[in-house]
Amino acid sequence: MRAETVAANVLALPRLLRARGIATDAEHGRLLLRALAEVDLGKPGDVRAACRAVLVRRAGDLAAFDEEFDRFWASLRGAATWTDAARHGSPRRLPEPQEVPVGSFAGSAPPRVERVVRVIASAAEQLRARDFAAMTAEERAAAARFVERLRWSPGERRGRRFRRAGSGARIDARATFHRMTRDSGEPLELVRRRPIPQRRPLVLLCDVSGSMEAYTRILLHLAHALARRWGRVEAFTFGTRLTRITRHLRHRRADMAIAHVSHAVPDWSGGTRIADALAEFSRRWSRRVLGRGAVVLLCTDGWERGDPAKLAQEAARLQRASYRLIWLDPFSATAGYRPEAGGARALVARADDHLSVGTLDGLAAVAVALDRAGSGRPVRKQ
Amino acid sequence: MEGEHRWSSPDDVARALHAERYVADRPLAVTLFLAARLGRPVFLEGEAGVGKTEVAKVAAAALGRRLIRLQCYEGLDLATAVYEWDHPRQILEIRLQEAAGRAAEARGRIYTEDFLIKRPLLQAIDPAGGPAVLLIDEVDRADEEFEAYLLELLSDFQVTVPELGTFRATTPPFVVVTSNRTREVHDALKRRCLYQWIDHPTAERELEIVRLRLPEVPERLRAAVVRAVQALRGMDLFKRPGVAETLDWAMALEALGTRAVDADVLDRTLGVVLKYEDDLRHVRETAMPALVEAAGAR
Repeated sequence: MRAETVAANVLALPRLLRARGIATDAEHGRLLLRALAEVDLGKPGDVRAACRAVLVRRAGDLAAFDEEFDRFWASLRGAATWTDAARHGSPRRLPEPQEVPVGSFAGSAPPRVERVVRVIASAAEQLRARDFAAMTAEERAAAARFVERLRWSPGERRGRRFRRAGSGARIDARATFHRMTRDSGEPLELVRRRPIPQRRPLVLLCDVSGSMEAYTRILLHLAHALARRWGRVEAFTFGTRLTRITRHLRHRRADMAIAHVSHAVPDWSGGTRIADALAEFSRRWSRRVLGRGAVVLLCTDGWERGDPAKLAQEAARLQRASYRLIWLDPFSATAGYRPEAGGARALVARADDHLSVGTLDGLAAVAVALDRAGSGRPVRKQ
Repeated sequence: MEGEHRWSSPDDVARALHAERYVADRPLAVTLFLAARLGRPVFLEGEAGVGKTEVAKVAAAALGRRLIRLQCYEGLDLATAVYEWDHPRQILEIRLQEAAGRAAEARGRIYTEDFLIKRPLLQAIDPAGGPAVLLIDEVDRADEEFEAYLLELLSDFQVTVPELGTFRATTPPFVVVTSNRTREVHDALKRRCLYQWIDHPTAERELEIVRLRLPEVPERLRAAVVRAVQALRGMDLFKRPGVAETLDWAMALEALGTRAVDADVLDRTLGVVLKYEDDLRHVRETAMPALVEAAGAR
């Protein structure tokens, strides 16, 4: 490969990466050129390492980078210049996401006129105690709006950073001394400080298997509302596999966000292996998202197809790693419900709270429980 | 400390690190070389125990620079990371000056470098100290507020102390930032850096590392330990052992005077490599034969 060919075409690489969702800007382009001026362009391995060091910023993008780099390199081999190649064959597009209906809720249309909004809003009041599974499409849409409007706050914890406060509990020795040096060495005034409260991170694990179908969409609204209002939220779905949907929930509009999620999640309405999903979460994610006193909301009915003993073990691990593990269960409010299935028993034993989310009243209670759970030491079942 | 070195190529970097008993793979050598040439910080990410911190230490030795380390934690503030005035000594000085009848002069004398406690970040850019390698270790443990400050420091390598003036590095420090990914570090910080993911080493490279680090351990034992650790990494574990554990294990077996690596000795020393009870149980109950076989394989 001629060095000039590489140099002339290398700026196509950031463009290819952008198409794969790896953001780069002009500054990266400049840095890339500087970096390539330093390495031996005759060595593909070095060129790759240099491009990777400049253009990639997270481990999750490494595989996509390598693929694009291979394509880029191959096209340099074949085509005269990349720009020619780009003109003829457009860069490969991501495969079209598969259209997957979100449970039976797919048809919830936004209201067309304002009058309808009001009618439905008042209808929400009557809907509060009704199970989501028994609602019509319009009622569910109204319920979703109700959820989006709830005030969510998983509480704050005491931070390790302080600010000055007249009535703070601790004396700020540094500031007091500083003032003393100003006032010729006399301790005239004690400066006080208090910790700055920090928002608690929230992690949402949402079961999207068949048995949860009627509740999935409302729970996604819950996830969206939390992500919008609270910010520090990581969300995952699981059925037969675990999918991180945090990024998809960022869209301001709930319906758009949920459409993104439904494209991204491959295992709607299938079976569940809760223990496997929790195990994967523990291995791959818990160290990254459960720091700093995170509250975990586990939304599932606890119908485990696998071994309940394994579920108990994984739930225990999840509980130990989190500040508080809250199990949101759509069925627990149903008349005559007892957590008798093996999976449900395992979860009851390990969750700090077991709350019902089958109805709007249930969800409102969750909001209250979260607000309470957030501060103070966690009270644990032993 | 002997004179400062400059790296002339990625090969040169790999050689220099090897001389300091660190085995770098090619991408890491290229990244370090570029970081030195372009004056950019290196951002090292990877699981615990793959040798991220070690990179900074050996880079300092290889470059002939002093190593300055800042261990991050939540609530890390400027007084611990950058500088702080030694107020008790200042007050003492005021008293001394008063006793000598020079109270009026005291004010001007106490805000000098004599009363300034330099913390790692200021030390690293202080021209008086000479060129440095600055290791900002486990930046994911610090909070966003500190990250924002770091961003500022890494872009212009200067610190202003209002009472005293501005410190500016004559030779910018070679900066190594490490993260264990206990949270996502902000993109803005990563953008200033060259990114390098460090993975667990291949069997070949790991054996090379053990050989270089533990020349006193017999080759047969080294090879057995590397094979066993590689087998463990392939298992379904909560925490896969890092290179640090491999070295510990080899040393532990050597200390026990192990001749043959059998099920018994592996079982007794498993706690050296696996630090979670679930993982220990999993391996003891289901994977012991596989582990013994891996260790014994020729």
